[in-house]
Amino acid sequence: MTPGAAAWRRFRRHRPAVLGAGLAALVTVATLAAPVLAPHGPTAILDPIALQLRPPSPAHPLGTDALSRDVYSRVLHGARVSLTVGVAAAALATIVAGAVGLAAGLLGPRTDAALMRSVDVLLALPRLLVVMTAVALWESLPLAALVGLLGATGWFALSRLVRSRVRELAAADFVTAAVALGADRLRLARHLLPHVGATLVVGATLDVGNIILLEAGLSFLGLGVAPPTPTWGGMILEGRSLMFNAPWVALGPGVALLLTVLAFNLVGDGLRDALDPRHRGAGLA
Amino acid sequence: MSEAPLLELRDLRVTYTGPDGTARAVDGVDLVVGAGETVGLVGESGCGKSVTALAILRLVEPDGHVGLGSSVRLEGRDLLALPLKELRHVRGNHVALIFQEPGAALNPVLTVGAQIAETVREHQKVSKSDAWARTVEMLTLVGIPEPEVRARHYAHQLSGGMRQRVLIAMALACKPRLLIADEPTTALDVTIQAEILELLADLQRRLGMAVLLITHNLGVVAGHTRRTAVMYAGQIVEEATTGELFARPAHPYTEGLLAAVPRLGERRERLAAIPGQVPPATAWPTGCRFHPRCPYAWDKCRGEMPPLLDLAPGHKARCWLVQEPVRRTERGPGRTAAPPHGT
Amino acid sequence: MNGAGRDPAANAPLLEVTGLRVHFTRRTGFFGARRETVRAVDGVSLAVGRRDTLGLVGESGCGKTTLARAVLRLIEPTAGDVRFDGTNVLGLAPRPMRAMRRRMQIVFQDPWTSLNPRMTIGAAVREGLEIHRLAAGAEADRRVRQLLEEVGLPDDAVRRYPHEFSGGQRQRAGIARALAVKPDLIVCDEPVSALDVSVQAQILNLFADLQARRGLSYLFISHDLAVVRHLAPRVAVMYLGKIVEEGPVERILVSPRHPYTQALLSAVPVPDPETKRPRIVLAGDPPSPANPPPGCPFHPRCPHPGVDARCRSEPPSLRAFGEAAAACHKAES
Repeated sequence: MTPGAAAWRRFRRHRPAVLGAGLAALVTVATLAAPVLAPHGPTAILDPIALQLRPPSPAHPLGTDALSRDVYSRVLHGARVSLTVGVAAAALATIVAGAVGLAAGLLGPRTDAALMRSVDVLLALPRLLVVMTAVALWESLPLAALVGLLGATGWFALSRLVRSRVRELAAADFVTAAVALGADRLRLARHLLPHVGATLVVGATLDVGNIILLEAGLSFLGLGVAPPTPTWGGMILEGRSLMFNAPWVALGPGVALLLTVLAFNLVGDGLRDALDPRHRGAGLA
Repeated sequence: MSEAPLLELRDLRVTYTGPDGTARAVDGVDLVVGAGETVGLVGESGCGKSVTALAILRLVEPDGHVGLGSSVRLEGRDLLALPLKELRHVRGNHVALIFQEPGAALNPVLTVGAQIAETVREHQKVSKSDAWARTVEMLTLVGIPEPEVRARHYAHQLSGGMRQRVLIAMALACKPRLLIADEPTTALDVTIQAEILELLADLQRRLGMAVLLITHNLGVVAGHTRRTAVMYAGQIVEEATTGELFARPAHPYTEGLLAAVPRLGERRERLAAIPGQVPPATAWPTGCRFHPRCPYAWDKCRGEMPPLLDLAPGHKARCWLVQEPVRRTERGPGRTAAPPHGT
Repeated sequence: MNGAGRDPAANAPLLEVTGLRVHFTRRTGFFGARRETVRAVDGVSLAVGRRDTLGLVGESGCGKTTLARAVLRLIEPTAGDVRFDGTNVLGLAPRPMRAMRRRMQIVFQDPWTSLNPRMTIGAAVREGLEIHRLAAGAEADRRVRQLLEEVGLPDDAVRRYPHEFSGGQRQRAGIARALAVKPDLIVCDEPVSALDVSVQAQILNLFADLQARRGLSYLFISHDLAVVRHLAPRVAVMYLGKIVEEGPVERILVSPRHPYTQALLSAVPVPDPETKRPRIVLAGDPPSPANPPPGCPFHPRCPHPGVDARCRSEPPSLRAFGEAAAACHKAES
């Protein structure tokens, strides 16, 4: 059995992880198929008088909001923003973390020291504040820029994990064997990539949840992606003052947010257990 | 021996169930250790010798299952049937166990003296100062210089040989009647190994203790045991006094092992290696488990598993050759040394 | 200086190590305030001829593994000379060094960590061919299959992962990997120590066969004298970073001159209940290479009755005793 197949089997046995994977799949489907699944457009203002602030009903499963828009449709469309930002920014952060971690581990003690001390400094910066400042200074922020910002502030801790894993592995005999064969550092990185891959995948998955929350937080503060594009954070903001008379306006996106972040965290946990090197047959621990 | 043996294993079976099937790690082992006797249990990896050691003290549960018909009698009492409370009293007190990796068996955050004292107090109602006195006494017994000083050291401050001595001290603190030593010297240097083995022999004489010495190293049993049993594929395949085993091995596996060991004395051009490899415990071969690798095997071996047959008084072998010795000459001692697909 | 007992008229040695030192500094003590120097290898000279095997024995902490790696420049030596076929290995720039690596390979002790668990056996064996551009595509496949057959592994091993094989089979894979680049010398760092007796015998036979067939040289390291005796005509004994005795293996085993060699021999368990040898007891613990004793490194544990002030202050150098050499002030011819 390949190491991959063995890991998949372990993952399948972890029930919360499988549940999380199911939820995440659901959210992904919602994201991709939102235009099709949503009965109404996200900004469509339906009957402004009759359908304003109506509670959940068969026609409107999550009710309508103050502008007579279908909450359910808006939640589905909001998923697009959250998930796109979450996955893209996490991917970006992971790639940078992987590159920096490998470089620090393989390029010698001076590069290692330079990179890791920089990371130490960067880790001291509060991520939310940095992003908020940047966003606030930027008028009409495009989505790509938001992704870039969130990604660029998210690789620090992960790079440290990667680097320590690389250092640990670099002492292994099979790496020495590759050096003895004449491998250059690029080839050594290739040897190590599948091993740090596990660390990266787990880190990335767990980060998706963080980033989604950050994005929601930014939207809630009125920063981030501009209206009228629906975002969960923005919707919660709108629904905040209506919590007593029309709680569904905020709860709809709120619960969606909760389930999505939970899903990714559960999957991340399951992946970590499945890919944990200690579980591997007689491999490296 | 007319008196009841100290330890008697009868039909010991241990199975492990896993994703690859059920592994019959120990599959019908009978073994007897008399009081004050040193018995060797020899085998390579995968033969089940370590599991046997663990099973004696019921340490294989919950992962492993001991067969219902198995019995482990210590001075007549079946350990497998004892309630847990009494079993705990036996463990460490009447039967002690030491392992291969002394570092792994010692608690790194307690001083070694504290660990020994803890063992003493666990089993005997003595005061703290008495336990400490006993600790120092044991450390002296195992030959540790400056025992009062060393007792306050931590495991990482001691060398491998010292740690093994500490483990032995801990094992013997309650003067057990039986010591099970599972590969006690494999992780140690040769010079230290010799010292530890001599220490065990010396202690055994002084305390009148029996020792079950488990190892894969034939040289270790040669010098230190009176009787030896050879294990293969979960079963005992040969048992004899040690001298007899080495001089006149009856089972082809024993012969093979003896032929495969490189010797200091004479240099042979090629080592006579046993072809093939040990089969997995989930799929023992039918009939005699050694037959796929045996140079003498014939149809009967493939079809029927031999029981332990008596060759001579005190010498048993699990091989049909005992009944048909003439077949041994038909094939001759030649063995292929480099198999097409080796281990 | 060179292995005593070599016929000077024979070919120049393939590997010649002179005065090799590998010292590590590390911080110890409270908050790492102190620095100590670990003299893992402390002035070792040896030589391995063509189609020849030199055995190296010693116990843990003697520096044999460090020596093995230093000779191949997998660890950078602190001082000394390593010449391979006349070329100064330690002075090579990265590119010529890479070419040199083809000629000297290594087989490791632990079959579980010496192969990348995420790489198939085929990929592992193939790597050397790729790095040095010795073959590609179908030709590389063919060579890999040939190598697997030579070491006794089944054809389908190409697609399978190390964890599917036993320790002995993994060692065979490691040997195939080393052979792929057609080296002249293989440094064998305790290659059978982690294997069972019956498997060990198979692998030792394989080493012998390969040497005969390919004209390989071996620097064969082991803590087991009997194993070394089986493969090597000459042996060197290491203690605390230095060679304390060397010479033809028959000589060393029958009449060792150095007290450590004598003690080592007396301690080896012999699979023969009839043999009774007097065992030489070594006092004390094996010392740490961070804190070697002054003078002769063995003097604190030496059982020789004549250990004196000279032993305690003056490090002995290797003196010739016929075809062998021993570093002991008290050894007699």
